[in-house]
Amino acid sequence: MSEGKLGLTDVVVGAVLLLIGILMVVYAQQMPLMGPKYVAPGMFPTVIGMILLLLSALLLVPSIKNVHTLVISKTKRESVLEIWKRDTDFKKLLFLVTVLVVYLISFSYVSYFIASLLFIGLLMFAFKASTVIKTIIIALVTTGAITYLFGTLFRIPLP
Amino acid sequence: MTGIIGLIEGFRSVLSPLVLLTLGFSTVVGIIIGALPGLTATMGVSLLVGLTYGLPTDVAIAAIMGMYVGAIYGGSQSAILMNIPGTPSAAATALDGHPLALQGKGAEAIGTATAASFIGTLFGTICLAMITPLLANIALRFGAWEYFLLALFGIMICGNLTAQVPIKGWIVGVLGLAISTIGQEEMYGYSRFIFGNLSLMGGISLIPAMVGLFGISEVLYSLSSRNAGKVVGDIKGKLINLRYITKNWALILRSGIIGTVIGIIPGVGEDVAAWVSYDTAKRTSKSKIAFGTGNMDGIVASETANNACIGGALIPLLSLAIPGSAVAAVVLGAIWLHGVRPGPLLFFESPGFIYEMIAMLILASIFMLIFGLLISRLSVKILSVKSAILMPIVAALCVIGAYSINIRVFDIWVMLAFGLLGFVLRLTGYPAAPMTLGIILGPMADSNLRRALHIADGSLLPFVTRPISLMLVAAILALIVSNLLKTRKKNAE
Repeated sequence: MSEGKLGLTDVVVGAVLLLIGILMVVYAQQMPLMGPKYVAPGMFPTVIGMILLLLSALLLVPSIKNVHTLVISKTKRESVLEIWKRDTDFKKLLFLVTVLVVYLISFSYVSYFIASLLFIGLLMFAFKASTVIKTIIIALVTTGAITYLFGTLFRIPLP
Repeated sequence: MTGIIGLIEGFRSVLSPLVLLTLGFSTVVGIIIGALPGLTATMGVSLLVGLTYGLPTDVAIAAIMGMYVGAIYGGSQSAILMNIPGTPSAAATALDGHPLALQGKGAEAIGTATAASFIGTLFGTICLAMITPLLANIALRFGAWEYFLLALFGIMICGNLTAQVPIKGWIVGVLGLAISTIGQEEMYGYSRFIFGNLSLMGGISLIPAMVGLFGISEVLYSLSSRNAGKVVGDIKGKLINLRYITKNWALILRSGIIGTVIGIIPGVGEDVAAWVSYDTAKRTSKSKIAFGTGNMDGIVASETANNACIGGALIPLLSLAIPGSAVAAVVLGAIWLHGVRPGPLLFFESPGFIYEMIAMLILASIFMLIFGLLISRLSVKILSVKSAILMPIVAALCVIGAYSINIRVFDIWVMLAFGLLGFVLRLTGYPAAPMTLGIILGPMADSNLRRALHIADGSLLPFVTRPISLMLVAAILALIVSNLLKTRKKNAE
């Protein structure tokens, strides 16, 4: 939202916050006492849940009012969604997240070196970092360096 | 006298070849990381914590201090050359630095920024040496009530100063507190919010969360962003104008004080310090309109303050175990990992540690001055490395960094989750720093609140009858009321 004012996105955030606050309080109340009530495990989560409920109310009320204004005079403010569309390539974002998830899953099947080599190489290739040969060389050298440095020198058992 | 002896001992401890080499190397890497847009000081330090976990404490802390000092300064290089601050703390530097570069004074701008950063770091370090023992003495009088309120105040002021709308910052901070409740709680060992997942019994590990929030989110943002920077030609000419530096000692001193004071405020950090100092310099200047068009005073104000903030941020960290900035929060995590307990008892348990840190900061600032000037001529080449080459490598390093703390694949998934969360927070205008503070201060707030209520048998009276508590309550209420009124006014416009 431009100029630090509250708007549509904040309505969504406020609603999510409200839900989290309610869930926290409900779950916290189900926790056993274990001892005096002031030191019960559920005490602090209850307090935090209630603060979240209060904050969600403070966020929702003005945000809902502003959403109405946004609809009337849309030209005056650029919505967060419009800024997102302008500045972020969502296809690239989805691709990145997918590749990251596959990278993490691949540790169960291949070694860290292979997984990282493919990960770095694929991303560099997809985002047109350099020529194919240079991409392969950079990916090999950096993956090799990271694997040697942490796996051998620092003796970290790699994933 | 004890302080001077302690400092001499501190220098003796760090003047070993390995520590010096590590400090020098990490300062250089820090400058490069700070200079490269998309790589922040917080990310660099977060990565390094995981990567240096297995090293001896003095070597690991030296690496982290070098990275911290180098990275905060490094942002000024890309700010001046590309008009893209390498770190948020260099955003104010770009306003006058880049116009100077376009006028052919890039070399002098970078040289001045380097000198200002050096002086700022030294100033903040001197304040660290003088103020930390005083604050630790005051902290010895803190009870459970004060610690709880301090945690709450820290999160609120962090949220206040890092978000355009303070309530957004508070929300993120309280969400951080909520996240900190996951896992086994301190008093009875009861597992909260684990939903049957045994990996969550230890809670959400700080370093993977931070690597995700600041590292992976930046990778996602850089590679999916449609915006790209442009490099400004070569840097030729004289680097430092010593006459200018000596003539503007008052500006430097004021900027150093602003940076240090803001550093002491929990969770606020170097970027706010830079902006407040820049704004103050502009308002008090006789040539206000020159600001933003290539005024060297703007660079000095910003760079002195953001580096003085380093020492300032370490003051509450060492004396109260409350970090003064997001980077300091990561440093706190590192210190804990190596078995050192910051807080008022640090002076009794590990008195040498503080003096070693002071010595490391002084040496790091000297390395920063030397290498910053040497590297500046190569800045153009370094800054032209594409994001498409850098970010995949950073992502692979983030994975190792998150994994190496507990040697658990689960932590890498935590890192990814927080990376996505950090990305969403960024897009929606919610700051990530208060969340970090919430996760760190959550256990302290939790145990102290319960302890306070147990001692007073449920009564809230001690919160207002104890003098320090009352001051903190008043400060919190003042923050809430003033910001709610401001938000109401803004939304009515």
